[in-house]
Amino acid sequence: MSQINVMPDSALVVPPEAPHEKLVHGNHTFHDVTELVSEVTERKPELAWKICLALSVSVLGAFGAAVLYLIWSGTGIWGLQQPVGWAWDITNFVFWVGIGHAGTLISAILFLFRQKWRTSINRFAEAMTLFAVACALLFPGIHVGRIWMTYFLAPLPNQMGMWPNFRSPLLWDVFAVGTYGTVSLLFWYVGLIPDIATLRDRAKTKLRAMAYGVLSLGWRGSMRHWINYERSYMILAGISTPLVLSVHTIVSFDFATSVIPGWHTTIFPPYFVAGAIFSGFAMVVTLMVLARQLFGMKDLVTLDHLEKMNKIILLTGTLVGYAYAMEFFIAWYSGNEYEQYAFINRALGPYAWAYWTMITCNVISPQFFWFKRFRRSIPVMFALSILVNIGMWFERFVIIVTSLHRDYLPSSWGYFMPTIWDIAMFVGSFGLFFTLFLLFIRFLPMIAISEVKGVMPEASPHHGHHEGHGHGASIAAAEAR
Amino acid sequence: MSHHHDENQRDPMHHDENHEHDHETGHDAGPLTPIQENGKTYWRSLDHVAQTPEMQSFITREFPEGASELDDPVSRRSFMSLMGASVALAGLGTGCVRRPVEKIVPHSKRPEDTLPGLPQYYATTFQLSGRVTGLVVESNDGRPTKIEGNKLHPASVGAAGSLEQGAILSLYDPDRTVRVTQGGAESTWAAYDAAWNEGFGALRSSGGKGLLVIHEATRSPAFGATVAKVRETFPQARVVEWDPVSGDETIAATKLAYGQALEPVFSLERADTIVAVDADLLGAAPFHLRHGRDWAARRAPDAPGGMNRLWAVEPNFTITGGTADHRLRIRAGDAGAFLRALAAELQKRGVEIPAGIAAPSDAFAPKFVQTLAKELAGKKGRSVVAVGRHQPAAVQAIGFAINAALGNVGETLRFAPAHADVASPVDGVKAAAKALASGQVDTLVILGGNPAFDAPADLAFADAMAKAKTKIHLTAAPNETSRLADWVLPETHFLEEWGDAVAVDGTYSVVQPLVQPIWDGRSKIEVLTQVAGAPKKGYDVVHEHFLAGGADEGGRTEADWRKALHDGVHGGPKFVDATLDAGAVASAAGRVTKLAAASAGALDLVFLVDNKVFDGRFSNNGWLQELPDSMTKLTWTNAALVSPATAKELGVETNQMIRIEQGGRTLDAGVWVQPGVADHTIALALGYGRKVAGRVGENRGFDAYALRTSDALWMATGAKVTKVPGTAMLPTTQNHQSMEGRPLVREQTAQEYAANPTYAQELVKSPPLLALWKEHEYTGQQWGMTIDLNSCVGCNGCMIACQAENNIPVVGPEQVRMGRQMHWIRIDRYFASTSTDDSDLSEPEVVHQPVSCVQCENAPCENVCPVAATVHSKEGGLNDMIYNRCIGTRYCANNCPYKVRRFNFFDWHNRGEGTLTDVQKLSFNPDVTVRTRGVMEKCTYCVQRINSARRDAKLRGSEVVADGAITPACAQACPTEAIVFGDINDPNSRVSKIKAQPRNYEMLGELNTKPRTSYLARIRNPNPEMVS
Amino acid sequence: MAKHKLLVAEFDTPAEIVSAAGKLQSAGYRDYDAHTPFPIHGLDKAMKIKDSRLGWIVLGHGITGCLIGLGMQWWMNGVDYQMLIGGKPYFAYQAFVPVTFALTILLSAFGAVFGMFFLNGLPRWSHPLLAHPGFRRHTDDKFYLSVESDDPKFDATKTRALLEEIGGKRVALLEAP
Repeated sequence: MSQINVMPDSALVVPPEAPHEKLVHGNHTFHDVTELVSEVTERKPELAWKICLALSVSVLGAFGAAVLYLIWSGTGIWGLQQPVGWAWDITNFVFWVGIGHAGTLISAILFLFRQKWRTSINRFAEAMTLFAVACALLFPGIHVGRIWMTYFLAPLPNQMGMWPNFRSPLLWDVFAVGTYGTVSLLFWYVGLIPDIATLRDRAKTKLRAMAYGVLSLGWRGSMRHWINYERSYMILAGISTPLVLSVHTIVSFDFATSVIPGWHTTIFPPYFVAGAIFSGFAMVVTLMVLARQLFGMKDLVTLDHLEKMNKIILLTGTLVGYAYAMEFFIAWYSGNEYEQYAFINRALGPYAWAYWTMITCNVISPQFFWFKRFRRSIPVMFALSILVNIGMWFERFVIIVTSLHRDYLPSSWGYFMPTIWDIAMFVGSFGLFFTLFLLFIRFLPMIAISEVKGVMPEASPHHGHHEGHGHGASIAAAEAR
Repeated sequence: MSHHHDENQRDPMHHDENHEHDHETGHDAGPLTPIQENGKTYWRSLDHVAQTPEMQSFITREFPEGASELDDPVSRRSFMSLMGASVALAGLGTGCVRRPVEKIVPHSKRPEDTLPGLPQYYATTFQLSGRVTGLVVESNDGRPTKIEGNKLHPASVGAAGSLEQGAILSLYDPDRTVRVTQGGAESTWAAYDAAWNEGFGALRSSGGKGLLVIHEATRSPAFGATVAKVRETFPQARVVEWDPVSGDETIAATKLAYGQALEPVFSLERADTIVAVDADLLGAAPFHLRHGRDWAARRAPDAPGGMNRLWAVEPNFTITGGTADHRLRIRAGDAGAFLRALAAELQKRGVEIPAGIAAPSDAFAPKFVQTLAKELAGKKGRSVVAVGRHQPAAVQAIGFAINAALGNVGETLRFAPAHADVASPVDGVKAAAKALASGQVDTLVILGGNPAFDAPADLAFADAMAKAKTKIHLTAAPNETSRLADWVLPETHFLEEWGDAVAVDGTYSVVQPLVQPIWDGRSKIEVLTQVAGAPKKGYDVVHEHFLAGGADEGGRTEADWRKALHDGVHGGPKFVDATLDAGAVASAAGRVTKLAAASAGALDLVFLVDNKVFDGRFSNNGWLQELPDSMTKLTWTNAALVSPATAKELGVETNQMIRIEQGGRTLDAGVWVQPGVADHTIALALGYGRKVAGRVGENRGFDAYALRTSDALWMATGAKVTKVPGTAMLPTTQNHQSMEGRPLVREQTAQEYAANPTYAQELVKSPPLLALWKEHEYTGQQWGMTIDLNSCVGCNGCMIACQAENNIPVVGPEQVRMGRQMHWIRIDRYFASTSTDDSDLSEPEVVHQPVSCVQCENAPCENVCPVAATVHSKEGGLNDMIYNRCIGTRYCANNCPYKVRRFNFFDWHNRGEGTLTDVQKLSFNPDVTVRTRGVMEKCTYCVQRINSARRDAKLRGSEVVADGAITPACAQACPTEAIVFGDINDPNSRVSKIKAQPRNYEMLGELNTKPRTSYLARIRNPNPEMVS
Repeated sequence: MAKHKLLVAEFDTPAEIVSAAGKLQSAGYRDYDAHTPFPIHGLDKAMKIKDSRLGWIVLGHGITGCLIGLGMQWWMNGVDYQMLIGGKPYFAYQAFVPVTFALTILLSAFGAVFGMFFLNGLPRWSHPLLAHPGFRRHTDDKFYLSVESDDPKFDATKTRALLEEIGGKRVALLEAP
């Protein structure tokens, strides 16, 4: 809870300093903001949305069918083998968990760092987090040989009188990712309550009034509630920060605590977290660019927001690149022949193609963001953000498969090749992701209305009183001191 | 005296009246219809009387070839009802028919010494193309489930090879001949008997003119006697032996060299220097298990009598060549010339080689020949030169002469009388084919075998066979020959029949049934007695012949018979003295000259006896098909093996399809580049490419018999090769052949060992890891294992033993190609270059390393399992798998540095080549769980054996299991006793003593896994002069 | 007692409601509240709202989660069913850190959210304010003050006058249905 104490005045969501640039463009009133955001959920769904949903749902359906077939005949339908016992299944898991990091990170860490620009994108990013985590959780669930026995993972009293093995990183995953999913959901929901109340109060139909009414829990914007609400939000942000950092750390333990050369590496936790933020932000950019075009929110989600995201992508991408280099250095420095072979094999072995795809996408492509021109160019950032996500998928593939396919005993070396079912499951998971996402932007405010209002200059009680006396916020600042 | 499970000696169980066959359950009619005899109707069982659904479906079942066969309806119940039948009949039958009653452990009333749930062990004998091996077979509730060696039999000395052990699966082969058929239509023995008797008169009057009997190679005295009876009854009849792979030139060679038909018997334990000239002493040769044991006895660097040295000279890489200290690649046809060159060098060094044999030549690595000669000259009476049994008589004769000159005869080489005086192995089948082709044959009786498939190609046997009027084939399973026969008769499996056999050293042993014929078959002997005119039970023939024999021992009694049944063997070896006819050998040797050089345009062909499907008879045996070949690691197929140099010359590489043209015959084959094959030689394994073999055996690989002619059974020259489009699917269990310089298999030379015995332990490069916490202390009896890489020859015996003992599934070629084979113990095979350039594998060395779960004390697999499905047992300290707890995350397999864990990606028992029919389920070991889909499995150190030994110890009031009381299946099968198991906390146990040796090392021990299985470094014993 | 009533006044800007709330407070009213589309800084001071007690609730939950996490693992792996795994001790605390941490966070989060609901008396789906059609814009762009009839100083006419005096528009008297 230490995070709370660092806040000078916890009752304030909007810190006193004036925004350096206008976070909301165009001369919008509070009402305009409400209109702009709520209207999306009220107007008739446009064709584009319908088509996208139809597409996503059918992909999701295919995914379901593939899973049923998997359960019916066994994990053998994948390309798995000895020695490669994990491949696309766990690659997809780590990939999605990684993406799932941006949301909470933007909400929590940027919130604590008072990055007000977050308000236009945090809701969106949090939603993305939830859906990504949902996809992620699927894969550990279905990758096991006996899906109907997965409940053994839970510490439930059972006829064998046995308990799970808490020494296993896989069990740590269950708790870490489970917690992460739950906390992200709560965080997201808490943020939503005032905005759902807004939709409730605008509701034209009985159904909407009922649905939003129930979900808003009877929120009535009471100042006495806001005080606790703010504190709650603050604390959630506080505890989510170590959580978001811990989740991918723990996921990386799946590999770091093993004995397999290429997995058994101490650099994994920071390296995985950086990678997660990297991929998460890339995914947010991809989706944001689409959404703001589609729903005309260019004034709320401005180029400045996107540029800031791109800067973080550049930073984390470079961090990841550093980690790649460091792995090689340590392998050489360790003097361990197995370790050394594992990395030489990564870069030059049968899977070199995957390795260099990863390097190109993750290390080289973000370097374009050194240039403001590219940082602010919608097409460039869109293309790069997609490249980054491809690269990050390959990163996980490279770590998992190239380490497994050639470990200690050359007699047991192999080469993994995906089957049609591996591909079906991966593509299918996007079906789930986008279905959830499209439903979200249709039925919930995709931008945090009350928070955006909070960062508008008009939100300051001194606004409009002191014309000529410079900007109100400076007084606010003085007052705060 | 009943057999106790805890006695580790799996010595055979005592036989009493309860173990004799009941004539009624014999063969007067199929098991499916009531027996009509003496106007009475006898029912097989109450089920049968009641006509239960099981029995109905059982009766109306389709042919094995039929589609409905795919789901074999023989239920355990009906199987048991067959067993119970014997009792029913014992009751019903004896009233009116006076014959000795034989029962086969009827479980409807518990006989003495039979505890349901406790296995029993019976001694019997396995014959394979004249290879005779005494066995002890484990029977669970009347089901033979596991074959092991018979310590009392000279060819086995307690060990069993992959073929001997794999043969048990053929007993439960769902594609077996299940009933008499005539012209493809369902028939009965009764109908067949009637038909035979009808024609019998005519045959008799013609003195058997037009009767042709072809039988497989056999070493059975009783069978021989019956053949004599047939000749008596039908002086005009032709009785010939044909066996594609047993037929060897050794008898011809001994007749040439010694004037009498003899069998050479090697005593390798007495030899300091062993020279194997195209002779796979440890692999394909008769007595190979015994050879292994004797060779290993002198293999340890500190062995009493010193370490022996093995020189191999061969065209193809055999396991004998793999274990050799020095190996020379020669063309198969040059063995004779090599021996003459060696003789010349010996002569130079004062060895009295008879005149006319030596022929100096520097065509064979002079240094090799000279050093070898020098060594041999100094090892008179303590060396042996073995020549392959398929080498021409003259060549083998030269070998005998050299041994004689070295004074080895009577020391390392002794002679026993040959079982039968057969001339050249092909004469018989040639004559038979001629007679058939010229239409002289009315009645053709083929006892076992598959001549239409494996007879020499030039004889066109299948076409000739068609000319016979009546074709009768007694066969255990439908094959290419039975498809052409009018009458197809079900033959008994050797575990279902009575018989006898004589080992090469003259030791007599008995073949006795473990179970009543499942499919109501008859044995060769029984059918042959009918041919002879007096149908008899196998039991009677063998029993009577036994009692009649033994004049030299002063007659035999019923008691002797009992003892023979109990021990499996009777009497010992019968060695004879023989004097060499130097002149004859010399004149024959004169005709042995070096071949004209081969080239890419005129290649040599070498035909190999496959160590999995043998001559093709095991094609439908999933265990053996999936067994990786010792040297190539290929499964489910054969390939054209060529050396790397020749492959380069021919511009082909592995998987490339080629067309081999030899004497106007062509064959398409997939190439496999195999280091160690002689240049310009293509080695082809026989027995693949079966067209009619059953559900798993058909169209695997190619049929090398197509190029094999009667004048070139084993080696041919002048073959041409052209590339053809396409690639062959060659599933292998090992894709990477190099050890990458890692200290996995550690080896040094005897000289280095003498200088630095602990070298093997010092090889670890990376610094060892340490535990974060105080490690667990294991008290009480703690199990461990050692594997001596010095005596492991890579014969695969342990793999089949493990498969049979632990109910390991078969997955099929596609899955093997994907890397999903399930073997709990595998044998890693690495090639090493002997030249300075590591990539140069023209003269490779090979190492074998059996790897199964090493039972790490700090097991990486256990740490990562989220549901604790693999944990350590405190008693014994084993790394246990809990199948019903496993959810199949495969994390443990990923984190296993030894990669010994095997995952059930599918339900193997109901899928593809592994699909089980009910009858196959009878072969399961009831003490071991059959794993389901989605769970991980691995070696358990045969925990079921450990626990039963623990139980028995407790019953005797002891908490401690005596050392040697537990033998895992792999250790038990091992001919060279390379695998030793025991209590590592007991300093006096055998395993502890071995672990104390300086050669002992832990593979990947630097990971602090604390493996319970450790290895003994391999020590090579090169001749110092060859090294320098 | 009398039926529960509310007087509600509407304001247009944050500045107005902050000063109005201050005046109401200094007029001695206690049982009143402000309803705004977003939290306005300064308003809490004007209304002299005490600091939230949520932190303590969360702390309690966090400690509980930590203890449950560690205790569960100690009991399950260390005591109730001891299994020898990888040669590690039965209670391998090094390996038990991640789960302990996760449960600490999880319960803290529950504390933060449900504690907030508890302090705010949420959910409360029926409230006279919600019934007032004019009141709908409190989640959009208008700002409201509401005075409860339970307030000792509450007087339908006087309070109404005061509200209008301090700039409140569209003052309305709401009755709980």
